[in-house]
Amino acid sequence: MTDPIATTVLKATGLHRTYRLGRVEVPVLRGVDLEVKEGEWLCVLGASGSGKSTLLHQLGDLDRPDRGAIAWRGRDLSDMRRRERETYRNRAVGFVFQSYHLMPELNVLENVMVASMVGHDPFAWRSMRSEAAHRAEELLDAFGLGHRFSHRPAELSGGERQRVAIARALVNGPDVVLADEPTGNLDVKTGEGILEVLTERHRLGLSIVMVTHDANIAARADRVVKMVDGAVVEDAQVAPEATH
Amino acid sequence: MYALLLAFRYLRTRLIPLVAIGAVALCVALVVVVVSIMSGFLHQMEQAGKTMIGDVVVTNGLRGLPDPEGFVAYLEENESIAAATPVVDTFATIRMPYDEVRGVQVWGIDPESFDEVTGFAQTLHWTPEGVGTDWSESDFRRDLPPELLERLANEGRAMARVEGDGTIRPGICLGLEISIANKRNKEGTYEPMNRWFMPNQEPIVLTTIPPDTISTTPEPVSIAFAPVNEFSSGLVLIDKERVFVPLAEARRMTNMTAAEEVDEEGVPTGNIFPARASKILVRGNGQTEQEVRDEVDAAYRDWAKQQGHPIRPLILRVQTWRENQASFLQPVENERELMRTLFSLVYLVCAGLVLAIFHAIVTEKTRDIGVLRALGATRPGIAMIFVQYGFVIGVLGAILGVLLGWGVVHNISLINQAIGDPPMAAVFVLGVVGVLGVWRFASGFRSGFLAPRVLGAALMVVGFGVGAAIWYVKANGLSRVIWDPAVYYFAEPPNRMDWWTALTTAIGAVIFSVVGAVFPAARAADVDPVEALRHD
Ligand SMILES: Nc1ncnc2c1ncn2[C@@H]1O[C@H](COP(=O)(O)OP(=O)(O)OP(=O)(O)O)[C@@H](O)[C@H]1O
Ligand SMILES: [Mg+2]
Repeated sequence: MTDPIATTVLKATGLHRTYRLGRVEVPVLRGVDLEVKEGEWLCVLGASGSGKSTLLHQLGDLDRPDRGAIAWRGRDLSDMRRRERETYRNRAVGFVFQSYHLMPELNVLENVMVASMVGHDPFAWRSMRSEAAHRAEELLDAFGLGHRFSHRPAELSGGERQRVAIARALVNGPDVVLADEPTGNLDVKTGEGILEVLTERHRLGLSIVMVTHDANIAARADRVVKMVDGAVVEDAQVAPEATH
Repeated sequence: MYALLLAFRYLRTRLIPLVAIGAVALCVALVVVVVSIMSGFLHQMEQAGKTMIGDVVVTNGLRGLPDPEGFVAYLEENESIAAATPVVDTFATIRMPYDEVRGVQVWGIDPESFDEVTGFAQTLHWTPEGVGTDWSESDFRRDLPPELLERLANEGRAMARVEGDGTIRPGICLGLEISIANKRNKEGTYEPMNRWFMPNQEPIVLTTIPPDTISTTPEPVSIAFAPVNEFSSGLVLIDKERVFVPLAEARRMTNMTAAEEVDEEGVPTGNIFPARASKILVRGNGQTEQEVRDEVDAAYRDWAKQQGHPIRPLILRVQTWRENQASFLQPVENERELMRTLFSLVYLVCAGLVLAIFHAIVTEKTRDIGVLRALGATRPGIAMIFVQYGFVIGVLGAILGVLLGWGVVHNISLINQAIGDPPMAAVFVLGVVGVLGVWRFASGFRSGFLAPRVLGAALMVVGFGVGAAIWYVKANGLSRVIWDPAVYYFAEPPNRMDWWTALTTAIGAVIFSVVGAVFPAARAADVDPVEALRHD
């Protein structure tokens, strides 16, 4: 599905990350190379504790590698100034977490809009507020939440919460969505709904990096890689049958 | 923008921040009430002090000022002077009709000009003015015939009484607190024991020994005065100690009358020493006290030079009333400043409260902070959530506190009464609270939950306990008014709001709430997003 000569959006080279617990060192990433092309859906498979979330955090600039580099559209994150990195987190990538991580005090619409608020100072926000609200409403409408703007997250089901979280990840129009087991907390049928939503966006050109340990889900991706021993192994042949 | 949104949302969905606002409000209200009442107290004292003294006081030691009438006339030509009056003061013993002798401060005055300077006539007590308006129900003056009051008012203003045989006797006007027969009641009005109604008494004798530089054995002087009226300056300190008599009599008591110089053989030399006065009181025409003082000072120097009266620079004093009363006003003022300083501690309370509460909130909100960081929020942005949150709490607390303080200060009389003698309604309300407690307790017992039982027990203790205590106090007539006008200087507790203090305290509370928020805010900013998000 992906054009082999499509531009590379996100590229990780030789990522190393070691956690230190007292005197014990836990090397989690040991030379990860990864490339995400424009419009590509990439799945990262791997056992629990293999470092999938750690990798995703690195890609989303929530954590920095001990060694190695991450480049966004050819520009090295470590070369960016702080403001640029914040803009990168705000606009270039969108995070979706396994347990949604919505803010309980905000209603559905605000939970989505908060992502655009974060990216603008109060003065800029004033002039673009209605535009942001419009975009948030549009996304929520598309996800079947058009009538629940003023509800609190606590009043929604898991699937609905995850759709709000996806809307939040998308509201600033990122190039890549980084999704960490977005269906991990959901039953199969609800999970299907979430994947449907993502597939829809993928068709419109969104790149997705999704972490999962479910091979069935991985089957929907354009490309599947595996985390083994702190490194990424190309494993495009993985078929749903093979993992069972 | 998200910072403010979240600040407000955290405020709305949580109980502790409301507690913080309440605590800040209470702190602010406390300072505002205490300082306002002390300022009001000071203001009342100043007003009272000023009533009896005018704007500026000229003194010249024990010797007094020569020819005060001359200087007064000279002063009154000056545009910026409204009125001036000479006063002779001394100490004397007074024989009260109930056979007691005590010391008093005697002021000899010219009633007319003294009234122009100090508003003395307004302080006379036995006058018909204020019938039915200012007087409370139990005021003794209601029982007196208006003709009598009219007569006493006139005699008080003239400081003299025409006796039955046509002779004119000099009058004395006593401070209302001098006679032990004048009892101040709870409304702050006076009730003389009927037999000792002062203006009905026989002439009252003042005795003093005039200072004498010539003869070796000083002769006491005794003068009998008709008790024409009594005055109340609004300041018990003055009302307890002072009597007014005509200027001429006071001069006789102090040897300040005009005198002719004699040589060694006792033959007049033709040199006349003019009569003297202890002080001259001056009221200006609306300028500041300092301006009037400087004006009077210059005028006195000119006049004395012109008349050939020597000036002794170390002894001659021209002071504003405030300078003159400093020894009496300063302690209260110092006390107020001390209070203000001590109560600045409430700022630390504000800061500490906000700090503790925000620390808890940051810990609780770690995950949200991680999410915001993942969404691209900067560290200062995260910190701003909590700083603005602290600001909002400070502002709301300060506004509430000032309003509360204003409510208390404004209704201090009512509150004073209610505390001293709680209305039966309070007992009823507390009873209802107690019953509510029983109900909560019972429901807790049924459901097996502990919290409603604890709450119920607390409500029962407060409701029934305090209610019963109040009821007991009332039933046994033990209630007493806190601000008892029979005891205090002033009939009414001061109810003037000190807006300057309110403003500074409010600003202080806001600043310190923000200061309290800064440390938790910095901690929030440093939250590691990965760590925060790992905890599901
Ligand atoms: N802050 C940390 N301190 C110490 N060790 C950590 C830290 N974060 C992650 N690790 C360790 O790194 C390893 C990889 O963690 P990571 O969360 O990336 O695994 P994962 O592949 O996402 O697992 P799962 O599928 O269970 O989510 C784990 O062994 C974990 O214990
Ligand atoms: Mg994980």
